Amino acid sequence: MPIGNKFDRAGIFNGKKSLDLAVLLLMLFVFNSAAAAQNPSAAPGSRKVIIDQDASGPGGSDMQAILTVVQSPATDVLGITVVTGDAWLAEEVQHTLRLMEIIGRTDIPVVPGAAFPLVNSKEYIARWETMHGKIVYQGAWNFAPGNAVHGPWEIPPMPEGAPTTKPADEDAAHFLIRMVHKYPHEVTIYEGGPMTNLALAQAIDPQFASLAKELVLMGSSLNPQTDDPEFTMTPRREFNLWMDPEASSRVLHSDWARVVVTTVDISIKTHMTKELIAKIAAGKTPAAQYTAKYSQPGYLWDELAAAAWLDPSIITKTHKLYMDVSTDHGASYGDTLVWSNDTRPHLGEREVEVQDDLDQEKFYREFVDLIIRPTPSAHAAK
Amino acid sequence: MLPNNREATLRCRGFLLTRVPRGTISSFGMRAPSLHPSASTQNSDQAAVLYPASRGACSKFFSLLLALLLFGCAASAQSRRKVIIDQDARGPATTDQQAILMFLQSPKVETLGITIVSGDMWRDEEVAHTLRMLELTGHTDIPVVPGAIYPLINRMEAIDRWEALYGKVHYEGAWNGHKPGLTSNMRNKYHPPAEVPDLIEGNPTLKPAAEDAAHFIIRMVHQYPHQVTIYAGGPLTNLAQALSIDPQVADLAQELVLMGGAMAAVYPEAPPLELRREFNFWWDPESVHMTLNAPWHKITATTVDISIKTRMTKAMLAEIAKIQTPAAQYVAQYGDKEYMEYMWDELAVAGWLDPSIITKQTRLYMDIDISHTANYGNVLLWDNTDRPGLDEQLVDLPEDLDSPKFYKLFMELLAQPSTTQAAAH
Repeated sequence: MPIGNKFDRAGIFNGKKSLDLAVLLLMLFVFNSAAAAQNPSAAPGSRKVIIDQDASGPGGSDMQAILTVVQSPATDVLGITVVTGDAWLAEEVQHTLRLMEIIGRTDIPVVPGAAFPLVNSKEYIARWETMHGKIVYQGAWNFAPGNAVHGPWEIPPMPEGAPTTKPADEDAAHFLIRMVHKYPHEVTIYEGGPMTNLALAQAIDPQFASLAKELVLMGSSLNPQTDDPEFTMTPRREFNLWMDPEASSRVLHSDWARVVVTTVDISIKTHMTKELIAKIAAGKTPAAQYTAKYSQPGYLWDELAAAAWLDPSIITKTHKLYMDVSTDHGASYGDTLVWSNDTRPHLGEREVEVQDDLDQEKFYREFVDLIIRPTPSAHAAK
Repeated sequence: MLPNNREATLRCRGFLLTRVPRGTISSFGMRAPSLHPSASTQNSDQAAVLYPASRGACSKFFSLLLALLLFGCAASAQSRRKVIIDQDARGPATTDQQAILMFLQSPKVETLGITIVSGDMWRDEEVAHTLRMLELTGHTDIPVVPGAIYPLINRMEAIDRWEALYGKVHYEGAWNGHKPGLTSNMRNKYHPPAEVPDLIEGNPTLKPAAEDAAHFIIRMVHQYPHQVTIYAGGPLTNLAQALSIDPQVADLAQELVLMGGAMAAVYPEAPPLELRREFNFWWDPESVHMTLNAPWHKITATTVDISIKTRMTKAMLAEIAKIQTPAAQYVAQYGDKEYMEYMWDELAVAGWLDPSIITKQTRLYMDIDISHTANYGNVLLWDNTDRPGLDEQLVDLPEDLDSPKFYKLFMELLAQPSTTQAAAH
């Protein structure tokens, strides 16, 4: 199926009129969704979301992002689809199951997704590095804090204990497709890891993106202002989009009604400080105790994407641009590409909303409040 | 002193002048004091060298005569810093010609020649503008040497295809306006490379050198080993050609000073779209790769990041108009009054003339992406921990400047009289 604007594809609207109508519809849509999003007293459990996450654990940015979404009384978490990224799929599924046990939300399905990127691989990147230079952070491929770097199916001992619950008997792509058909235009896809699962869903069912309500993702890097050489040497490389460039490009060429992007640029303005960890440690709930026990100082990558979806007023500045990921096998493989409307190539690339700045105190406050509040109980059966 | 040293030693402006064989001294001021003048006695091919003064051995009369004869020519030529200006020389005025003028106006510089390369404009048009600038500013003794018309590999037509895949390029220099689109509204209408429209500042009568840029560069670094700074304010095609013909060029030059590249510039007015694309590098990526992988003794690159911290202003142009030198009048009359350009190339020149203008700099390994991908022509950077360890070179990258000092130097140079600068080659 050709990639393009769904209004064009429908073949009903032509020329400028169709553009006007499309703009009008889009404005109405954005207005409505913004109004709903900014209303924290939205009906409990009314905001349907699927958490697609590379779920390394215990604790840390991935688990804290999952908690941010699950702990909100406004959300109806349809499921957590897991993908290899910061760690391998198999261990991530175990950590996620265990977290759901600890907070008493075993009703939320944990759905295994892709163990490997579509095309990219650890072995390919090793060759790539000899030509183009070393890549500091490669997630599961070179990083396993507390453990030796290991193979995809090995599950090192879990400090938080092994789960007794089992993952769903469905794969992530089909789960994603099934849910957006069941609740058309109601489901937010929150993405905190590589986009392999989403690309697979879109490849299987080209209606997938258009049936979702929106895509909220942590990914991409534009021009992060920092002294950290991991980001200044290659300011357009960001791990989530880089690990599976082909999937990223596919997803960013899909006809989502809306895409909101949390970049490295804004993520590195957030810090999980010892102070924040202490505040969370004062919480008595299992979620607070789990978070405090396993948290490390660092950036709040995915938590920001999640919290800003729950309360968009955390974000104080945004701008729109067209975004893609380089799938060329050169020095820029996996790097973020961006255009304005007058420079873009018109190959189906998408306009996205990029977050530029935030109200840090508000974010920290709301994040801590969510983590330490009582975990909402299960909603109606799915 | 040896009795048969016919020149004896002559006191000249606080230095002793004597003669040693040409070729035995590679770096004046460093090795010269350790050489004994006796080494010169059998050699008829001799070059003048200055020694720190010791007790005088010549009459005041002779000293005065010599000072009169040599000051401003041989003696000062020996003490001045040799440079080849490799430039895409758009004109009249603007950053390219203004950068050239800074060298020519400096009493501390000996300009061996100006080698021209297509970039902001096509080469032939640039040669004409440069010759005319020399006529108008009184620097007609400097050779203008035509270089490359086309990049090594990159082509206007190839970029058209590239843009269909990867998006439009905002500024394409000599290619601007060859098709409808972003670049068609620039002030220069597109024309083919061999066409030279009449110059608004008048057509030159002066002629370019009969030699090509690559051979001129090679000849000069052999004639003055380890003494020549190569400054490149445009695409690096001429340098890549020279390096291909004679790989010794990098080692024989004293240093390489570039305006080119981009790291992570923060433009106040726009979100960052093309962070690592900069015109000089982008126009001929393969040449940049060849140049940046050669064993220079030192490379300094003035990138977009620091260039955009400078800007020509209307107030500056008004000040320049008050200076009654041909150079200042040329800039005042033809300087850009519409776009208020960043002072891209002028800053690279200034940082070389007076390094104290640069207040902060970093040092990284720099290369360019020559893969025919979305990243074609974009800068690559590494530190020592992540570099691939091929032939990439360390490059000094100025990050911040003393702006008042920079503008002051620029104005002071324009106020200098147009003295004859070049020695005969």
